[in-house]
Order: sequence, then C-alpha cells, then structure tokens
Amino acid sequence: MALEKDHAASEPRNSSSTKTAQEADVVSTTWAHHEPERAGSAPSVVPESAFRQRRGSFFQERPLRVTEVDPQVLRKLTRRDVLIFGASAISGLAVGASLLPQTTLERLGLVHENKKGPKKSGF
Amino acid sequence: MPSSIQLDREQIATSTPESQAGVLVARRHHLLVRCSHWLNVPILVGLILSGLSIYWASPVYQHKPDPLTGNFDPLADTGIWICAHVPGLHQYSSPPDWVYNHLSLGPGMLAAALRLHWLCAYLFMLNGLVFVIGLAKGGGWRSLLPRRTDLRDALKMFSYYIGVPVAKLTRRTGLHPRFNTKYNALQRVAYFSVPVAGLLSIFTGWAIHKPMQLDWLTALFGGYDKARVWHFWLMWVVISFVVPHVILVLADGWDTLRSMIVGWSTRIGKSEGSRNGA
Repeated sequence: MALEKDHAASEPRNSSSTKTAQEADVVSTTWAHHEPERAGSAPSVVPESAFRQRRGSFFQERPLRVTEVDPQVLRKLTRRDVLIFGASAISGLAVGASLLPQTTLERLGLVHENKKGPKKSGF
Repeated sequence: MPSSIQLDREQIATSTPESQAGVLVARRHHLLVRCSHWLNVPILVGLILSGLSIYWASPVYQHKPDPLTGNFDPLADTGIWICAHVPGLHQYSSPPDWVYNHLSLGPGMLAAALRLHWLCAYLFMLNGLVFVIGLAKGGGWRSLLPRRTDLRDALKMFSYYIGVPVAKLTRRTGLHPRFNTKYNALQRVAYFSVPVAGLLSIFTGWAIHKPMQLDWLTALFGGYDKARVWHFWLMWVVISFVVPHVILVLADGWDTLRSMIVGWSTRIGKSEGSRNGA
C-alpha cells in the first residue's frame, strides 16, 4: 500500500490515537507475563540470563503494525483486492472443473454426456 | 510516498468530521499467507474428492462381507442406509455408491483419482512452502506459537462457544474471555495444529506412495496399513477444523473475512476474531 502513513514504522508516535491503538494492540507472551512477577516479588530469584531474555524477545509476539490510511484510498484498494480475489476464485473454479474427469462432470451436470466423440479422461 | 497520502484536512474541510480522519488499519496477514490460505480451498477439495475415490478402490476399514450383497465397505453401508431412510432416495440406482457419488470423483475411477490426488498433493506441498515463507516474512509465526496457558485458556474459549447458543436463546450476553494477543488460545491451538496435521498428511502420503523406497517413513507410522489409517484420519482432522472455522468466520463478520483477502483489519485494539474467534 503505497498511499499510506505507517505509524508503527516511521511515525514518532506523536498522534495520541495511534499510540493508544498501538498500545492496545501490543501483545504479550509467556515471557512478558512472567518477568515482572519474578522481578517484583522475589529479589532472591536469580535474574534470567541475557540469552533467555533474547530468546524470549525473539519468540515474543510483535505488535501489529497500525497504519493510518485515507478512507478513499482504502476503499479503492479494497475494491481492487476483492475484485482480484473474485477473478482468481472464478478462474480457479474453471481450472478445477477442467481437471475433473468426464464422468464426474456429467454427474455434476456441468457437461452433457458425449456419446459420439472421444471421452475426456481427466487432465 | 508517505507524504502523498497524508490527509490534508484543509482540503476536505467541507466533508463530514468522520471523513476527515484517516482510517486506522492493522496489518493482519502477509500476502503470501493470504494466497496460500485461499489456494488451500481448491487444493483440499481436490485432495478429498480424489482421496475418497482412491479409498473406494481399497477401503481402509473393512468388515466381513455381507452374505447378501458381498459388501465389505462401511462407507457403502452408509450409502445404503441413507438411501433406505432419506425420503426421495429410495429409488436411487446404486445405494452403495451414494457416498462416493456425492463426496468423491465417483466410484471406479482409481486411475484418474490417483493422478488428480498427486497433482493436488504436489500443489499442497508447494503451497505449504509458500505459507511458511509468508509466516516467516510477515512474522506471523510468532502469533501461532503455543503458550503455557493455552490449554486452560482454550478450554475457557470452548466453554464460551458452547454457551453462545444458550446465551442467544436466553437473550443474555455471554462474557467473552479476555485476551490481548492476535489470536485467542483456541484459535492458536487450531492454527498451530492444522499445519502440523498438513505436514503429517504429507509424510503419511509419501509413506503410502513409496513404501519400499521410504520404508523407514512407513515404519515410523506403524507400517503401510497404519499409515493409510493415519492419512485417512488426518483428513478428518482437517475437515473438523474447516467446518467450524468457516462458520465462525461468517459469524464474526465482514472484517475478519476481508482481512484474509486484503490483509488489513479496521478492528484496532481488539484481537482478531475477538467476538467469535474465527
């Protein structure tokens, strides 16, 4: 999407609404859930090694990228994508049907029985 | 071109206040993930239709031949039962073939079914690769990783779904379990286990296809016959995922379905499928 403003990547989080949305979307993982408990409640607990923390952050679910887009652009892009999807679905159906054997197509009523010519034997 | 899309609020000052603001969207699915998701539909249909035609030629499950009909296939029995009990089907020409006529390419089509099955199987493997690349590039794999609390949370979600029809009937609002991740625990379990089932289907398929060359793989699944049983039941695992998946997507609304077509969602601050967990 070229015509958009990417908050997550480029914006310095000056928009409060975006910031709120981003914060709301920030996801937490097992690591994120457990670390504050360990740090706050038991000082005697050995802190997690840097390796484990790095590993935790590698597997940690990332916040979704929130982007502000012009409504008109959004409508245009949606229309384009839905049309491409529809066209692909129709062509996929056509290709799929063409791969089916003659008897299956006849049973489905997609073609009439061919009594004279050679029978289609599948793909 | 970030500047070209920034909303010029002065230019559209005559518009309604709602149209002045840009729409906040969250990117949900990578293009490759979306493509592979939808390509799975025709591929799985082809695999199941052709797979059942192959099954007809040599059923995985067999019972002692019926003394009257000689039939040994439980699926043929199912067809006979359906034709005997469903109104309008009493005159059906070949009751043992009813299931195969409706859920497969048809009986007596082993060669065509095998060809189609392998075409779809190769496409399925290729598509799986596209899915994995899409997950890696988009970082979506992190959302699918199981967590320690998933089992408990998945049970909570499951009990919520069970309670939804009752809540609808009694006109009460069911309390949706809270979660702050992209997917809820039940979705995560499903979305993680289905690719695993797909992978196992591929392995069992190879074990059946090349039992001599890949004897170690066949042995891993307990032999040729057991590998066929695995393969058969993995199909049912996929079907048992797809049916509620489609129902829940439709129940969850346009945003969820659209996000798998266009890649983004306007549901900001809520997790995907937060109402119904498609």
